[in-house]
Amino acid sequence: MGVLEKITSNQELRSWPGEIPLENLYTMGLAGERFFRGIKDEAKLLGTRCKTCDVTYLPPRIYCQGCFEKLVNWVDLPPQGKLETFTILNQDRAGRPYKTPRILGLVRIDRSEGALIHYIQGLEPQKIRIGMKLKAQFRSSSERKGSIQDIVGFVPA
Amino acid sequence: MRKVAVVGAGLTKFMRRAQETGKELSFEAARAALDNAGMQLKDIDCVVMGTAPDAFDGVHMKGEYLSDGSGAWGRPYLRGYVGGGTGVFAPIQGWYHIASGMFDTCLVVCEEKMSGCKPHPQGAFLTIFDHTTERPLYPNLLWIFALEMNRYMTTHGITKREIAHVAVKNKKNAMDHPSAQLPMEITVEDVMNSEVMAWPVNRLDVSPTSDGAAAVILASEEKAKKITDKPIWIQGVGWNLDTSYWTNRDLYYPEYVERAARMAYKMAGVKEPRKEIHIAEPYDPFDYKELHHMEGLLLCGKGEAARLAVDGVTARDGDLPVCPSGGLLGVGNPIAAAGLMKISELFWQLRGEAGKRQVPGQPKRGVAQAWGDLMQVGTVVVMGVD
Repeated sequence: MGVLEKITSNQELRSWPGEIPLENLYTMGLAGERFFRGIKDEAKLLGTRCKTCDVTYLPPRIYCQGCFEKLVNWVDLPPQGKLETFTILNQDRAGRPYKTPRILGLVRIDRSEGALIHYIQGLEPQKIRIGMKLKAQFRSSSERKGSIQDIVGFVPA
Repeated sequence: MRKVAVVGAGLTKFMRRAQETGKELSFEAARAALDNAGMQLKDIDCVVMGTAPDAFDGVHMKGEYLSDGSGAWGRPYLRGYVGGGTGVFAPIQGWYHIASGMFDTCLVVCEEKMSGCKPHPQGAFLTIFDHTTERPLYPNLLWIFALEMNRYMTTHGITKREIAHVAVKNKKNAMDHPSAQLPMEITVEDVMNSEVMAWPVNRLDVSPTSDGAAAVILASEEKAKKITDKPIWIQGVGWNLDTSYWTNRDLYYPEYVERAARMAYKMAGVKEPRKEIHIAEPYDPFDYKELHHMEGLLLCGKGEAARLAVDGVTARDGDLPVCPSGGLLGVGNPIAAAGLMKISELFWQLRGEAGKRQVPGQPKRGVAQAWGDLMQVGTVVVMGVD
């Protein structure tokens, strides 16, 4: 019926507008609490290490996903790494053009198996190369809130 | 089909608000189950995760999100979800992974983190109702439980006071459970005098919202006998779904639970459940639901369950111990994890390892059941020592 008559506006059908009204408060968890405290209080990146599997987790986990041992060995990691891939964003999520294209990169953090995605700053898009060294630029201590946004972005090391 | 045994179980504490993420809760329960069985993650062939609405954790496809905390990295993995019935359905899914001959060991994990869901985890259920005939009236789960409880009470002439005995029993049983969130010694008067939420449901007739996780390890017969000298066998499984046209059936009796139970009993060779089931863990999110489900499980006649509660038959040292764990009313109700907690309880009870909760008389066979979706799904597992 709908196909034959070509309903072009579902407003003309009897309908009832609704939503799924939910919000969430996400705890950072045991590992996340310590990770973001490290960022907020000391502008540093913390990982957890599994000696058995020779893996350093960043962001940290309280367990090794390989051998399932509980991880208690916390290590300071340098807030820097290598650019593994990137994209140049021309539109925001609503499809509106950015005045200046933004660069989103995946940065593998040194001395760990982990990576962070973040914005890359201080570089023209044509100057970016996969494999280049980048470092995290933290906000000042008074501005840091214990969030991934305490890092403004990654800049050339 | 091959025989399947439970060889280990583990629980986190059930609590109102956990700092741990869902992944971390899953890990703690799974690690505890591995330790209980004396196994390592490398001994696990596949993983089943049971977890209820994505809305609780606030993560769409939360099965995938929880996978690495459940030991599923690099393994065949399945997330199952049948609402509140999930916690007893997940071990059924684990069972057919092994019974089919495809795998020898399966880690079954159930997780729920409800505390993050705002303004109340109840909100996850506001949209399960028919969007035109019911939702405009803004019903919530409590309302339909109240309708069902009233129908059940009125059909059989059962009183609120009789039903309150279930809350008293389960919260007291929970005092011996190390994972319990709401263990307490209360009286029938306390239940009757607690705040009326939606008559006939009072505050103490209801289980709490909870955060927590549970895990069990299943193994094939050959593997199970190598892992432990006390495997507990899954003798029968059953599941059944009634229509979501829920207003068109009589709420006084859960037909779908009976159908699921008959399926499980047939597989287990149980002909007279009243005599052959020694211990029962029916789903008790509300006190009357324990009674409703005992009847659906054919452990007594229709309308007879309240009398058994009042007379102490269902006490831990009664003829038919029901929810010796403390149930959802006492231990807590992290939805999927609560169902698997019941499977864990049967495992420990049948092994004689339930400590202060141990029911006397060396029980040989038990039944666990969960219930959910829009008052329509029944999931049943029969477990025994041989």
